[in-house]
Amino acid sequence: MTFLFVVPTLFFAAFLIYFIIWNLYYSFLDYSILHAHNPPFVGFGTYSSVLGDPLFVTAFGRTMLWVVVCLAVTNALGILIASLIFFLENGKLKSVYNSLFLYPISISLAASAVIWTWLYNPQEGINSIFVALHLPTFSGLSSPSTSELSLIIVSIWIYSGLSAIFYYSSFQGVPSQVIESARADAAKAHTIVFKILLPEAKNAFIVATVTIFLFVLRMFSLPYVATGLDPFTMTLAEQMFNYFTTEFFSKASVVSIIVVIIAAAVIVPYALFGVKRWISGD
Amino acid sequence: MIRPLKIAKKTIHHAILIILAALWLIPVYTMLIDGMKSAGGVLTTPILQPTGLSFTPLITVSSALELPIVNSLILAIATATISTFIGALAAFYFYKGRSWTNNTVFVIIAIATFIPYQITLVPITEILSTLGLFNTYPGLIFTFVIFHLPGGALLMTIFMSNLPKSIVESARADGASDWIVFSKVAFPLTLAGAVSTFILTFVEVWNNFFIPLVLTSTPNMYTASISLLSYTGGYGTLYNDSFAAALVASLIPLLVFVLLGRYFMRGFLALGSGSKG
Repeated sequence: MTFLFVVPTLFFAAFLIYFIIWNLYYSFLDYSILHAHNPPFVGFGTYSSVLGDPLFVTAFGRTMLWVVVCLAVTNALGILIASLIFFLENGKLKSVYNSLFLYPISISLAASAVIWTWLYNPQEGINSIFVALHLPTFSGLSSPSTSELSLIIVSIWIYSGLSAIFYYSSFQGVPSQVIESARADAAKAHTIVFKILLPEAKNAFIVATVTIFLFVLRMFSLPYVATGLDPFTMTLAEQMFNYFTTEFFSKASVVSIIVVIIAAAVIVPYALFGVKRWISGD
Repeated sequence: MIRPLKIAKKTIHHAILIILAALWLIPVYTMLIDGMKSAGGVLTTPILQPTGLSFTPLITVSSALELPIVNSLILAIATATISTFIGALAAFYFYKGRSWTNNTVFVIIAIATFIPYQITLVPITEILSTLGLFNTYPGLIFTFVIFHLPGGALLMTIFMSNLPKSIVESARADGASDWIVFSKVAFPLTLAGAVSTFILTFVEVWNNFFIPLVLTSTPNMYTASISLLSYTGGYGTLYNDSFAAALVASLIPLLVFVLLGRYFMRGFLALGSGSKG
């Protein structure tokens, strides 16, 4: 009767599945402030009105751009940071640096938003240094042209350390004899990184990319706390919330279903790929 | 000829790391210096420049955030405890056998772990309102468990898969029941993994913003992270209160990270690379 052990977990997981089905059902209705009772069935009607909403389209595009930029930079910085730490000789120093780059992930996105909003402040923040040095200032969150970039930078600060520890742990899996013999052949550090360490870090790349992808896909509180529901920084999750608070519930469900489809396209292969590594190893 | 070159390289190596680390520490540096800056200091110095020392902002903010912090503690401890324990039970099921059903259930749980929680916005609000659990601890804990239990089960499964099968089989041979094997052998031997799972869940719940934003409606139910909304600054506000609020709201997760960072990192590594670290 070992199956009983998994029943409580399945009980809660069932709700999650139920929620998705609920969203799917309501996404085909027009459940909104206009039809709070007996919402009519409209087929893909709500889908087409969401897909035709410029606010949704820009939120979607922005979230995807955010995903792409954040993934490119956090992977690159993760490799750089992990390599720099990997070649240190002092073990204590290695773990100090690893934690130092990872700490932002232990702080809430809301707290990060509060801090960075002030750091981007035109007069009081980092700009005070640029002003003192007579350099051009950065408009940060105060200008629509730089507000998204400013928030992407914050997400890079948060997630690079996570990507770094994934790469670092992959690098550590490379047998030390291989690295020592490369060193004996006077191989340069970057040759070791590109020719020996990175080819072994395929897993780290997948894990960092999938994890950070999913973090950015659900990005909500960082832009919400920093700028409110601002059309220039609004993400998919914020747009869903926007439909919800304005009582266009079916539209919120449509966005949910779109997010589920995008997430599932990444999660399903990842979970299948994970099963082998997570539990089949004895 | 080689030695000076080597020393120069080493210096550059350390210099890059130190510069990057300094950049990474700016937010924590500003939380510390500006969260303890007097009103006068705020008016005369920019954010990056330390001046004086005043505990007034920390004291003011702490009294305002006291209840939200207690709420966050209740929700985070309850969710982490439930998720870790029920997750450990599920892990034992996966540990015991490899079968077709086993793998299917595991994949479902892995998928549930990573689904963005915002998607349940509308249905969860409806369900909790119908049950009269909207804006209550049980409602919030129930919702958090739905989202964090799959992750807890996944992590505990990874940690438990490290246990040599022989240990359980020998307990088995002595005629012990599943429950005895679990509670006397398997769970105690994965205690370090349970600590990682607990800590990771605790910090995630503590930092969650969306769920309490949607499922609470009165200030007495607010959590630490949503209380920060009133400290985002704006015209006429002093920045020392904002930094003090960020510091007070982050103090517990930061302390957990500093003191138990090994467990924290192990959790992420296990979830990611399946490393048993």
